Amino acid sequence: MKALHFAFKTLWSRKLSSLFIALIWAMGLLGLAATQRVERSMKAQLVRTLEGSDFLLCAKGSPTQAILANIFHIDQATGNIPLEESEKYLTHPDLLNIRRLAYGDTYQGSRILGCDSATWMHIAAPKLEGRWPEQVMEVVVGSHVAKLHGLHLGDEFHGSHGAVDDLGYHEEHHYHIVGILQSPEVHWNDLVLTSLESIWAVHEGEPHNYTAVLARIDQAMTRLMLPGQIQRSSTMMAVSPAMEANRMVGWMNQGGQVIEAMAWLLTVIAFLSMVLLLQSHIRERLPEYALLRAMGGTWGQIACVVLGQNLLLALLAVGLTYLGLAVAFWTQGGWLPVGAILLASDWWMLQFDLSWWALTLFLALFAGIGPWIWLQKIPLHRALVDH
Amino acid sequence: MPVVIRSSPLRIHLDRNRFLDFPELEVHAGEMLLIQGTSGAGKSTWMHALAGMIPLSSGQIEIPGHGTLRAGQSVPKSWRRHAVSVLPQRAFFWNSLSLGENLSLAAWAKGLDSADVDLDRLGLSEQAAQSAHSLSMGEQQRVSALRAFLSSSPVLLADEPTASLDDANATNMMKLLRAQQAKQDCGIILASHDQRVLPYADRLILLP
Repeated sequence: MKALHFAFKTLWSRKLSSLFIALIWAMGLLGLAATQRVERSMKAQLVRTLEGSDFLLCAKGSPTQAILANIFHIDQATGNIPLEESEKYLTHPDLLNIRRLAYGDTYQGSRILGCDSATWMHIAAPKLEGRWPEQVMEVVVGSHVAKLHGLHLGDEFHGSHGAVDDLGYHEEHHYHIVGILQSPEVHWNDLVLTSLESIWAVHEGEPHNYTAVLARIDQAMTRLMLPGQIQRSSTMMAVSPAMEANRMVGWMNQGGQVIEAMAWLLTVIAFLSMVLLLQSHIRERLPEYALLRAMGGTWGQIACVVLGQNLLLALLAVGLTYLGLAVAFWTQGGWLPVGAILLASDWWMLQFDLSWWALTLFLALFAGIGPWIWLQKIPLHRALVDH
Repeated sequence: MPVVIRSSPLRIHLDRNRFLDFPELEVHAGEMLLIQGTSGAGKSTWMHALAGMIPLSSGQIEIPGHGTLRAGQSVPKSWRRHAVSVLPQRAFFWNSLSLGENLSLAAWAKGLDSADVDLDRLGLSEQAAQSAHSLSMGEQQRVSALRAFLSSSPVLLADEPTASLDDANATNMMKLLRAQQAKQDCGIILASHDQRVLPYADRLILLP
């Protein structure tokens, strides 16, 4: 403990340079820790969201766009699919928990999604104020939508045609709010949910279509084969969201790798700065260390003071890293892509931090070893006489 | 009185071609041996050799109860921790530590639990939390002397302890060394070209 006290006082006597090194180091560690956390959180979120969605039937187009539109509800759908043709394939015995979706209109920019009751039963851990729609034109609004537009239970509104407001309004059809939904899967909170029949009622006279159909497939072979069969024999597209999602995670990882490389660079710079700081400190304070030896101090004690300084710097860097992680978590709304959310349970899984704790400790000790060995080679009497 | 340090004739190489020879030496408990000589005669070198801080080319130094330091061999364990204490020519301290912490550092280096130094005796108890550099040169040198006496080693090696002090401070320093020596019954080897220390010495060795 005494060694750490002397090490602390030594660092304290050059506060600014010590803090600067700890900051650079913390930035490197923050990059590493945050990249790992975001990747882990996004993967976990993806897995949670894709659970029970092994099959997606939709109009031909980009599979990624189809997944973003019909599972994460953050992109434009690839188009509509005819109801009759779709239903032909939905009789497959391996398709379970089938959820039919039909995008309709928007309300002041918020999407109105027509879906069957299987869909809202599929929503994870919903907190519903009111009830689910039972009649045509009844809606449940997501909590963000309610907050954004000041909507309450019992309010009525009419949608506008398509995805934007300037294509005309459906003034003759009023939606009636019967529930307000809050889900940990935040994309649901940005939607207005209603029955398929409401969407078709608003678009009276038009053929009944779906935008997409989602289902669970327990049989691995069916999961693999069925999308291909549908692709070949129909005008529709069928994809396996899990396989597409793996590709999306691959893209995300590429972005993460760039950040990770920068984080490594910062960590290396911090390490070199620490070595240089320690070396210049030891050169400057050589007579002091010589005095410690002259007074009977052992090389072990000197190592404790020298390495103790690095250890304290490392602890400061780790502390600053966690502070940075906490700030990143609190401000996630400002920097995460729309629809993504970091859960505290994913963000603060500390067991994954063991690798960079070990790295930090290793670098701290390694940076001190060189200067300590150099110190042993200095003739003691010369250091004292020169002083 | 028992012998506290015994040395055979020593040879110390300063570099490949230059060396210094030192005579046989024996100091008893309670004795103050003064080594005088011109500048460059090797007073400090001899002191550092006795402290095990410079390697011997030939000869040996024995401190009864603490082992023997022989040419070509490593310094016995705890030589400077328990056998000899060193009072450097100029008092110096760790800049980053307060006066009290500097004494704690010395105690820690000596393997002691705490620094049993009576700063009151020097009228410095209130300065314990301040930097050692806030003290006058004389005060610094006296604190440095008390620091050297921390571990009750049988031998104290004092290198020019009065060199940078005025008459009053030089007298105080020598009185302090004598008083502390009486308390701890150690032998003091004092290297100095300062004639003011002569009256305090029991014996003199003059280096050519």
